[in-house]
This record gives sequence, C-alpha cells and structure tokens, in this order.
Amino acid sequence: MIRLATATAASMAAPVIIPASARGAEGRAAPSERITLGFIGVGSHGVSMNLNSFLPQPDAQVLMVCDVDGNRVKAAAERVRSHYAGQNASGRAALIDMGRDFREVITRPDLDGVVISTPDHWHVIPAVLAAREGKDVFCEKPLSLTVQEGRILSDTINRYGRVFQTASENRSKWNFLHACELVRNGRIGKLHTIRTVLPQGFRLPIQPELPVPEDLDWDMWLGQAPWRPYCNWGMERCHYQWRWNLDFSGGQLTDWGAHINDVAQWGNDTEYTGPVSVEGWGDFPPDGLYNAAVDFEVSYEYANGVRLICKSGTPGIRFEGSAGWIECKWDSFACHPESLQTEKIGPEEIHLRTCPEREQRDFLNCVKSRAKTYYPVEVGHRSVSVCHIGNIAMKLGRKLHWDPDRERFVNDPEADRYLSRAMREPWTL
Amino acid sequence: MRYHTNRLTCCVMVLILTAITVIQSPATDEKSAPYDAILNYEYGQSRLALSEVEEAVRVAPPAEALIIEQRLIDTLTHYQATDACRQFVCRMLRRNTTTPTEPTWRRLLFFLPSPTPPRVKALAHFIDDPTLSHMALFALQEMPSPAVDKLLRKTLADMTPETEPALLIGIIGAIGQRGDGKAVKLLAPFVESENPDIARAALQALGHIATPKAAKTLERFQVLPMALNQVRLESWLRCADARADKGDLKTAAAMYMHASKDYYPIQIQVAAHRGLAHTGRVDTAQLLVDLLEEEERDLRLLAAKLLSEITDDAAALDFAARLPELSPESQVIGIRGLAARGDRNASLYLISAASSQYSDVRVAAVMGLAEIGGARAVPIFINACSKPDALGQAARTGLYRLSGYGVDKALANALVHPDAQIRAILLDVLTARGITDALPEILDACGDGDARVRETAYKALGALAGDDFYPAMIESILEIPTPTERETMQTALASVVGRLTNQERGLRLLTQAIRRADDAAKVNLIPLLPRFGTQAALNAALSGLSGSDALRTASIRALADWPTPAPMQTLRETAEKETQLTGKVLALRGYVRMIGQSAQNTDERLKGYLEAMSLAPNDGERRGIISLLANVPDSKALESVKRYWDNEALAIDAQSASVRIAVATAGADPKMARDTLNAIIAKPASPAVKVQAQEALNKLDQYRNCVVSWMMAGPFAEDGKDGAALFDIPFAPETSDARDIQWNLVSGAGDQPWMIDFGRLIGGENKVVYLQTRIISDSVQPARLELGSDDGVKAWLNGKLVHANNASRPAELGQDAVDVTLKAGENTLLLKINQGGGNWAACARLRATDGSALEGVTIKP
Repeated sequence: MIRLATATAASMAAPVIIPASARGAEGRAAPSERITLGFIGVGSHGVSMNLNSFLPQPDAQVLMVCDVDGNRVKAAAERVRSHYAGQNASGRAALIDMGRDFREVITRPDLDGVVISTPDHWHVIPAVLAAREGKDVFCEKPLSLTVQEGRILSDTINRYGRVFQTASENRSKWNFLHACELVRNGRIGKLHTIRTVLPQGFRLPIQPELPVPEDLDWDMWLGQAPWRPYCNWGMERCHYQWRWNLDFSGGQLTDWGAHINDVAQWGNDTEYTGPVSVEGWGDFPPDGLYNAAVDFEVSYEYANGVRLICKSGTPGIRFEGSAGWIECKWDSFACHPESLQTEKIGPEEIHLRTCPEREQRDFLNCVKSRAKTYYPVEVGHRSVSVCHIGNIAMKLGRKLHWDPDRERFVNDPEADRYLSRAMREPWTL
Repeated sequence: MRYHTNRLTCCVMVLILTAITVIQSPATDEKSAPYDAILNYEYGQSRLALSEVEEAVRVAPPAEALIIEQRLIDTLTHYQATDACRQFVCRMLRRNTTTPTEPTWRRLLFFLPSPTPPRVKALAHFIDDPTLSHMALFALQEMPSPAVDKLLRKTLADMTPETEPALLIGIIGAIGQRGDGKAVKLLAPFVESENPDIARAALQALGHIATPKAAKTLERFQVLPMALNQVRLESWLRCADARADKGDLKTAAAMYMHASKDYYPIQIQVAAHRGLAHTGRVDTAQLLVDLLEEEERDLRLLAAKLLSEITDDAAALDFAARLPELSPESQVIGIRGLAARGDRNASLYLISAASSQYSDVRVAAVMGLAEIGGARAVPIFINACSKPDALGQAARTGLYRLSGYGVDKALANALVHPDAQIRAILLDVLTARGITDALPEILDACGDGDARVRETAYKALGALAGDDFYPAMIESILEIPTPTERETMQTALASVVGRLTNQERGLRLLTQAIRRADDAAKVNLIPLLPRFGTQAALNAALSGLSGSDALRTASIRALADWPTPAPMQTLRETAEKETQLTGKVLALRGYVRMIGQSAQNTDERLKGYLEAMSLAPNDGERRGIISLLANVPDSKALESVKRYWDNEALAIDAQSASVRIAVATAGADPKMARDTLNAIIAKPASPAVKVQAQEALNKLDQYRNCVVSWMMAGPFAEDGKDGAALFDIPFAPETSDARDIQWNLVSGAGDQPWMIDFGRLIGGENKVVYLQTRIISDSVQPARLELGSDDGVKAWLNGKLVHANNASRPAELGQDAVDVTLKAGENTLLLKINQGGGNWAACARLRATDGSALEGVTIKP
C-alpha cells in the first residue's frame, strides 16, 4: 500500500532529508533545540488548529505533511513553505516534503514526533505505528474508535516510553481549570452530580454514489472501516462530516464528549478509571447518511457515588455539590456561591496540570522534559471510553454495568462485543 | 470493491445453501417481511428497511433470539442478497446473541462435542470471500464460541499460496485478536512468508496470543529483515508483559533483558529497559545511572520517564544521591524526573544541585524545587529571584508554585529582606498566592523606604484585605504624602469596600476620616462614598460641594458615580450652574446616566435627554446625548436630532441617529420614517450615512406594524426549575407590585429589527424575561396580535392574559396569532418569554384582523 509522494515537482519527490546545516543542528535535531515534526492529516483542523499552532513555535520545525487527499497536501505544504520562506535567516528551511501514505512519515529517521489530525477511525493505527518507530505523538481527540483500540494505544505509548498529547484545549482554559480545581478541593462540598451538555448531532439524506475524485485515495481513507462506495458527505468531499457516521466515529458523544466529558472526569478525579454503570437513550436517524445519535441523554454512576448526566443541547458542564455549584460554557464561568469566582487555591491544595499556552506548547515542553502532558494517552483513552460505553448503552437500550479495571462489561458478553471491531484487511494492530 | 476468481465458488455455495434454506424455511410470515425487503438493498438507497430490522433485533426478547438469528442467516445466504445487504446482516449477527440449544450439563455428561452455532456455519461461507471476508470477521471476531476459533484455524490451514494476501492478513489478525493459543503452530510458517505484510500480521498475532509457546516460536525467528525483526521484538515484549502480568517476573525480566541488547533498534531497547525496571528484579538506581550514561539520548530520556513511574522510593533516593556523579546534561534529565515524581524527600539533593557549578543544573534544580522543595527551599528562591538570567526567571516562576507546610510563613517573614527589588517581588508573590496571613507584614511594608515596595504593598492590601485591615488602610491614606501613592491606596480601598461585611462601620470610619483629613486626602476619600451608596454617604459627598475647587470636583465625580439616581437633581443643577468645565461635564454625564436608570418609559427618557441637551456645554457632550436619543423611538426625539443635521461637527451623528429612530418608529409611523430617510438620502452628511439610510428605506415595509422597541425586565429564574417550569411561575412584572421593577429599553438589530435576541442581550439557560410596550390607538378597534417566540410566550393586553404557548421552537414572525380589541388611548402589552436552552428570542406585530396593515395606532415603549 505504500505509495511514493506524488511527483509533480522537484520538491514533491520522495522524502528529502534536509541538510543538518539548514536545520541549524547536527543530524537529527536534538529535542533541547528544535523538535522536528511530521503531519499526518492536514485537513481543516489539521491546518487551522495544529499546523498553524506549531509553525510559530520557535523550537519546532515541520518537515513533512501527508494526507490521502492530494489537494490538502498541496495546500498544507504551501502554508509551511510560505511560513518558513521569510525565516531562512534563522536557519530554517523552506523545504517541505509531501506524502499520501502516513507510513512515509512515521518511518523517517529525522522526525522527533508526529501530529495526527486524521478522522477518528484513523487515529490509533498511525499513533501506534509511530510509537513503535520511537516517535512522540500529538493526536487529535477522540483518541479511538473502540475501547480496545484505545487500550492498545495507551499500552503501546507507555511500552515505548513516548510522550503523547491528546489534542484538546479544554485543559488549558481558565474556566474549566478553575472549576475542576475548586471541585477537587471541596469548594462546593461533596460532589454528587455532574451535568454535561454536548451539541446536537446532524441528519443528512442518503447521498448518491459518486466517482472517487482523482487525487483522493478512497480505499486508504476508509482504512479499517467497512467498505462503502464514495459519496459526498455534506461538506468538502468526504471530509469533516464523517463524524456523524458510526463506522468512522461516535457522533457528538465522542466528538464533543472527548472535550466536555473529559472535564467531568478531571473534576471528578476519575481520569484514570471510569464509571461503573451506564444507561441512556439516543435518537439514531433511521434513514440518511448519518447514523449517530442526534439527540441523546446518557446517565453514568461512578464508584464514588457521583452521577454524570450527559445530554445534547448547548455545550457546557455543571458540577453540583452539597455546598454549591459551578457551571462552565466554552468561555464562561458561573457559580454559587458567587465568591467562588475569585476563590484562590492555596499552595497546599490540589493544583491540576495545565498549560495556558495550550496543548501544542505543552506537547513540545514535554517532548523535552519527558514529563506527562496535560492530557496524556491513558487519560485520553479513559475519557473517550466513557463516551464509547455511552453509545453502546444507547444502542442496546438497557442499563449496563462497567468494570473500569478490566475494561469489560460485567457478565454481559453481548455488550462486550462492541468493545472492539475487526479491522478491514490489511490493517491490523 | 474487489472481485476475485473464488467468488464464483462462493456464489455456488450460497445458491446451494439458499435452496436448502428455502426448502427448510417456514412459510413467509408477516415478521419476515422486513428481511425480504432488504435483500436488494444497495448503497445510496434509503436505510429505512435496514433500520426496521435493526430495531427488531434490538427489541427481540431472548425467546425470539433463535428465530431472529435464523431470519438473519436466511437473508445472508439468500441467492438474491446483495453485498450491501450481506454487509448489513453481518453487523446484525455481530449483535444478535443466542444460547446453545444443547444444555451444557448434557454435553459434558455424554461427551458431546460443542455444537457449531448456525451463525458460525453461515458466516463460514463468506470468510474467504474477498468482498465479504471483513464483514464476516466483523461478526465473528468477538463471538465467544470455540467454534469460531476452530473455523479460523481451519480456514488458515486451508489457505494456499494463491490465496489473496489481504484475506490471509484478515484471518491471521482475527486469530491474534482472539488470542487463540492453539493457533501458534499454524501461524509459524506465515512468519517466513515472502509477503512482508503477511509475515508482519503473523508476528503480531503471536504477540497478541502471548503464551510461552508463542514466545518460543518468536525466538525461533532470529534472522529476519530489520523491519520484521522489529515487529518480532514488539511481540516478544508483549509475551514478556504477559509473563509479568501473570506474576512470573523472573521469566519476564529475562525476556526484557534479552530485548535490551544494544544491537536491537533503540525503541526496542527503550521498551525493554522500561519493562525490566518495572519487574523490580534489577538494581533500579543503578539502572537509572546506567541509562543516563548511555550515548543514545532516547535511553537517557527514558531515565526521567522511569523516575516518574517507579514505585520504589528508596531506589529513587539512591539515584538522587548519585546525581553529582553524572554529566551536567544527565543531571538535568535526572532532576526533571525526580521533580515529576513528586517525592519531597528528594528535595535535599535538589537543594544541593541548586548550587552546582553548571548553570543548566542550577536552573533545573530550582524548577524542580518549585514542585517538591517546600519551606526549606525558600531561601534559594529568594536569593535567585532578582537575577535577570534564566535562574532568576525560574525562581520567580517557582515562587508562585512552591508548596508545602510553612512556605507561606517563610515568604511573609522574608519581607524584611534588605533588597527592595526582592521585597517587591515577594509582595507580588504573596498577593498572587492569596496569603491573607501575611497582611500584618504587608501593612508594615506600606511604610517601606522604597516607593516601589510601598505601591506594591498598597496593591496587595487591595487584593487581600477585608474588615480587619480596612481601618488601618483608612488611617494610612491620611499619612501618605504623594498624590500618586494616595491614588493607588484609593484604588485598593475601593476593592476592599466591596468585600466589607460590616458596611455601616466601614462608612462610619470613612466619614470620620474625611472630617479629619486635609483637602488633599479628602480628594482620595470622597470617591469611595458611592461604593456605600447610602443616604449617609450621599450627605457626606454633598458636603464636599462647598469646598475648594479640587474637593468640589471630587464630590461631583462621586455623585456622578452614584449607584442610584438619588443625586440626579443635584447633578442637573450642578450641570446648569457649575462654572468649572470639568465639574460641569462630570455632572452632566452623571445626570444623563441616571436618566437611563430612572426613566420608566420613553417619554420620561426623552424629556430627560432633551433637558440634558439644553445643558450641554459643547458639541462633544451633545454628540453623546444624540447617541442616546438614537435609542428613543419617538417623533420628538427625531425632531430633536434633526436640528443638528446642519451642524458640521454633529451632522453625521445626528443623521445616523435619525436613521435608527426612523427604523424604530417605522412600525408606528411609516410616513415620518420614509420622509426622514429620503431627506437624508437627498442630502447625506457622509456616504456611509447615505448607505445606512438607503438600506433602512429598502426594508421599511417589513417593519410595518412591528414592535421594534420594548422595555425589558429580567431575567428571572428559580433554583431547580427549568425553562418550561418557569413558564407558569409568576414573577414581579405579572403581579400588581410591578412598580419597583427595573425596565430597560431594548431594540432589535440587523436584518430583523423586530426580533429581540435575548441570547445576545442576556444569554444563559432556564430563565424568563418580560417585554412591555404601549399601543396608543385612535379608537376602539379590533386587531390581530401576531407573536413569535423561542422558547414559549405568554401575552397580556391591559393586564388580561390573551395568549399562552409553552413552546420549544425557533422564533419566527407570526407563529402565533390572537384576535384582540384595542381600547381608545393607551393599551399596555406585556409578553413573557421563557428559555430552556439554545436560542432565546421573541417578536410581535399588530395587524388588522384580515391581515392587512392596522391604521390609527402608535407603538412606543
């Protein structure tokens, strides 16, 4: 399946090893100097959020961009070239390699890390293979397509001692951080309920089969997912809107759940475990291209007695305790008592890990220090697992009991079947 | 989709199966109809029929599971079934669960073999079909039946060299995922396949199986291409993990040791060393030192990672003691690891490293001490924090993070440090850390000999002090000699007043101080009076009006900032009579602000603004009042601003305000609005105003009879009640005691000026808001009240409920309509709009009962 980069221009030939002199370092750039990165998936989020955030970092250099959509590779490469073009004086190269197969990126010996901004069903495979090649990994949320995939990812990252960042800005935002620190330090008394609200999902009528665009590798785009013919997904080609189909994602429950339910796990001090039961209902469109739940409500119970109620609506989170409550929207913070607004957390108290300069900066810092990032792989896996078992409970339509230690349902082989999926050949882990 | 030669074979088998099925099947009944409907399903067609089957599978009681399974199998194997249909059925077979018909006790008693579930038999026919193999495995992979393992092994054994590689990889992958230990022998030959993808899949599968036999098999293949050897070693490490998980640490350690050889890829060495450390069967401290002495940077970095992971505290401390033996770079890595570990017992070693001869080590040590240092590290931070280099930066940052018992006290005690820069830094740190216990020392710092330290101390008091230190701050401001420092203390006091629990005492102390203060100090004390806002405070502020010019200006400023309209009349008189321009302007602005606070309707507002206009001393103030008149939807407001169309300095503002008033009154008086806009277009003060007027004119007809300006009250909420529940809870505007309510003027904006967007104005969830306006009718006449709302709406006309719809919908004009009768003269229309979540908006229009324009009415809030 490995393909060479599309050779339409000299600079687009197969990977070019940039001369050390051009990179301002001998051989592979030392992590203490400049961290070399390859980008896997350079669509809208990959460029606007990740490429645009990494390019200005003084200690990072992007050497390669890769995508199964030729249009996107070219556009991203141009973005890198134009950014670095004016910086040659500082020793940065304006050279950028392009690829269509992620394996060209992960096998490059001159890269320290990879940035994965692919669709959800394409997160774990490249991340695992990159870790096996000794790369540090920055990967978009939600981390996995199934619970078992996430377990393999977390084990692999830890086995190889890699630094891993789950890409989410929530842990860098003051309102969520302040809320979780207040909750963890008992400022609203005993926490008993967490309410998370995620956006509603979407519907789209069935779309007719279309010829695959010439510069799109559709079979590679499908990857491990069941085969289906190419069609328009409602936006640009097959991009972005795949997340409303359960073959590729878990709908809003995983897409936004990886943000907001992660904050719930953070505030509840259950980042490394999960709930013990789950039940819920979802409005799964019976027709149309999208089949993930549009409206939903899922209720979880934790071993510490806390209830998490996650439903669709205007996104936000509310922590309710015996002595007050805190509610955060994306950029807002409301609370009772009002004094919590300016409440300070003392030095002897619990301070949560954050990085106000956001997830990309935190990743680079940790590549150097080898410390855990603020949203490490196990935590990212656990957060999305909460969402996955929510989808399973909605699909089965009954209450399920979850064993977070074994990561299996309790005496429920029917539900267990949904914890993994056979990958379409030739993909295996 | 791929098509292959063995597809023909598969199709023949399906035909035979179908024939058998047709013969054996019960007669087609009503319940099997949905299954028949999906036989010809193709991608791109409606999924409704599939969803019907899926729902049937989901809700089927256990007793029907076998029937459902048979229906699915019949569909899967039907000769007419399309590939897309079969793909769907495979998904359903993954879900559907049945129990064996043969009881387990009977099988065990009579040595009967485990039966092969019918679904496994059916799916077996597609497992080597290139088109459907994946979906067959999709159904089979998680099926807990030994028959599946048997099937997969048999299929693998039957594969020939001509078999499609992708098929082989899929089956090998499924065997691996199922961890079938009996398949090890079968898998081994595939490791030597000429196709590297097949060999890789086989090696991975052995790693997933991870039995001792699998490990032994992996050991056999010592000579493999480099890429494959890496996969083999990964699987070998998985086998070692499995041994460790089972408690066989000795074997696991030996296996990790084997993979840690320096001729293996560096990432394998990293993983092997990590595994080895976690077995606890090596000298961990020595391992960490050894790793840090490695040439490979990845191995050195692993030491830091291991330090944050291992549970052996003694080993970590042994390692910390050996830090000085290491190279500076390795010391830095080790220090970071110790800090990430969070063990305070290691802080002594980091304190020692903070005086290293190597600057990188010193910086790393200070950064590490910020995490684990505690009180004993405070002197290190204090001595370094004023330095301009990286060490100073690390110390300053660390002072905010440093934790542990006694740290706060040590920082407060250090305020006597001889270096003024350090004292100032410490005050900032104490403030940021919120250390109220340090307030006595901070208060002492207000008398510091260094001005920068004093100013920082004032700010610290402003951030931290409350009732206890307020008197001392009041006394202190009387002693401060310079205006700049007094202003800083004034700002600090303003913050503290907001936190006082005993407001009465606070005001008494302030007024006493004002009486004792000289004029210079009074200027900084009087502006604090509005923070109390009581009559006593007002009296104190008024007393300053008879003082010196500076004192008089301070008093006017205090009155202008008053939180209520109480000094409104004084301000109006001052604005009229004051001779000093500053005082006059301050008074006028305060007066104008209070008009907005106190006016109950547009008439009062208009009257106030027109009077203020007559008092304005210059065009700057007139411009401000014109911008306020723009929000008053009244013909007199329009006439007032029109007077300034010919004033060169104010023409643009006046015409822009005229456009806004014309739009807001268009519903009630379209002719006046149209004439105004045409006049502006004919003689615009600027091209932008002309565009603005033209756009408004184009949309004028849409505004006809719409209510575009309202008085708004709220939001109102009640704990534990959602938006729907609040709909029927009466709040003050609905009750007779409605006079004390704060009403604010609101208007629509943009392309839909009739739509009031509460999401933009207020936002939030689970609230209600009220809108009120007046409809002046020339006569008694019937009318149709058209309403739109998001969420629901209630309407009262002249105090009588005329409409209620607790809806959840996006707002549109004319969603609800109710016929009403307007009395001659003034009618009051009150709306209540509730909000659960999402968007929140409302709109209203009056029409004749036949839907035509309603004549003879004026609408103004």
